[in-house]
Amino acid sequence: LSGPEPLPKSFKTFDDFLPTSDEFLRKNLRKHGVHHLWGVQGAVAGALLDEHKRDVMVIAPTGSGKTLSYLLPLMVRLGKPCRSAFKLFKSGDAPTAGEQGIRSIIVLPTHELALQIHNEVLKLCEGHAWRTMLLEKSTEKAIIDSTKSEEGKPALGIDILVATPERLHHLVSSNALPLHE
Amino acid sequence: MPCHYTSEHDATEERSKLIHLSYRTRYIILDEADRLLGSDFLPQVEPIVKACTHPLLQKACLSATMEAGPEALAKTWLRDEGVRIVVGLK
Repeated sequence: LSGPEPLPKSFKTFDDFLPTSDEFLRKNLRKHGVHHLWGVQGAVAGALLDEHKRDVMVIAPTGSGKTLSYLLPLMVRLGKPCRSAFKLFKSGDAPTAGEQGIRSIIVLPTHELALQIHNEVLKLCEGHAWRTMLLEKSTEKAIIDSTKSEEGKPALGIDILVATPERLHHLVSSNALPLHE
Repeated sequence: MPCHYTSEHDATEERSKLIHLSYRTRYIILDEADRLLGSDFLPQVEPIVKACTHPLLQKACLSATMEAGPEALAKTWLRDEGVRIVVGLK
C-alpha cells in the first residue's frame, strides 16, 4: 500500500464494511462459497470506502480476488438500487441525482471477460432489485432508453453497466444518444 | 491524443453527447487496466473516462501486471495519483 498520506485503513473482515442493516450481500457471498475476506479485498475496500473516496491502482495476480475487491465496495457505495429511487419518485419523492442515470461503469477489454464479470455481478445481486446491464448489441437500445427521461418520468437508470471499450465508446459518441435531458 | 475534432463546434457538440450519458456516473472501474491503457484500447478508453464528469467520480484501475508507461498515464487520471495497492510481488 502506498500513496499520499493519510493512507486508508485495510479492512479485515466483511463485518468491517458490509452494512449490517442489509444481509443480502452476505447471504449471496455465502451461497457462492465466499466466507473470508482476502487481503487484496480488504485493502481495496478500505481505500474505496475511505471517507476521502480515494482512487486506486491495484496490481494483484489473477486469482487473488480482484473482482470482488471492487464489486463489494461498489455495491456498498451505491447503497440502494436505482429502482428503489424510481419507486420513490412515483410516490412523490424526487430521486437524488446520484440515484439516476448510469451510476457506475466497469470496463473490460473483451466481451468474454465482460460476460464473466457480469455473471459475478448477477450472483452478488441475486434476489435484489439491482439493475445491471451487460453492454452488447441486444441490450444497447435498452441502455440508451434507460438514460432518457420523459416528462414527469425520470430515467429508469442503471446501477452497474459492464462494457467493453469499443461498444461503450461508440455509445458515448454516436448520434444514437438523445441530446435532451 | 485520440480525439481529433475538426472544429470548435464539433467539439462542443461531441462533449454534450458525452456528458449526457455519463454526467451522473460516480464510479468507473478499469479491469485488466494494463490492456485498457495499451495502444489498442486507449483511443476508446480515454474518451470514456473523460466523459465521466462528475466532480466526485471515483476511479479504480486493476490489473495483474502493470508497465511503467500505462501506470504513469493512469496516475494522471487518478485523484491524488490514487492509492497504489500491490499484492504478491516480490
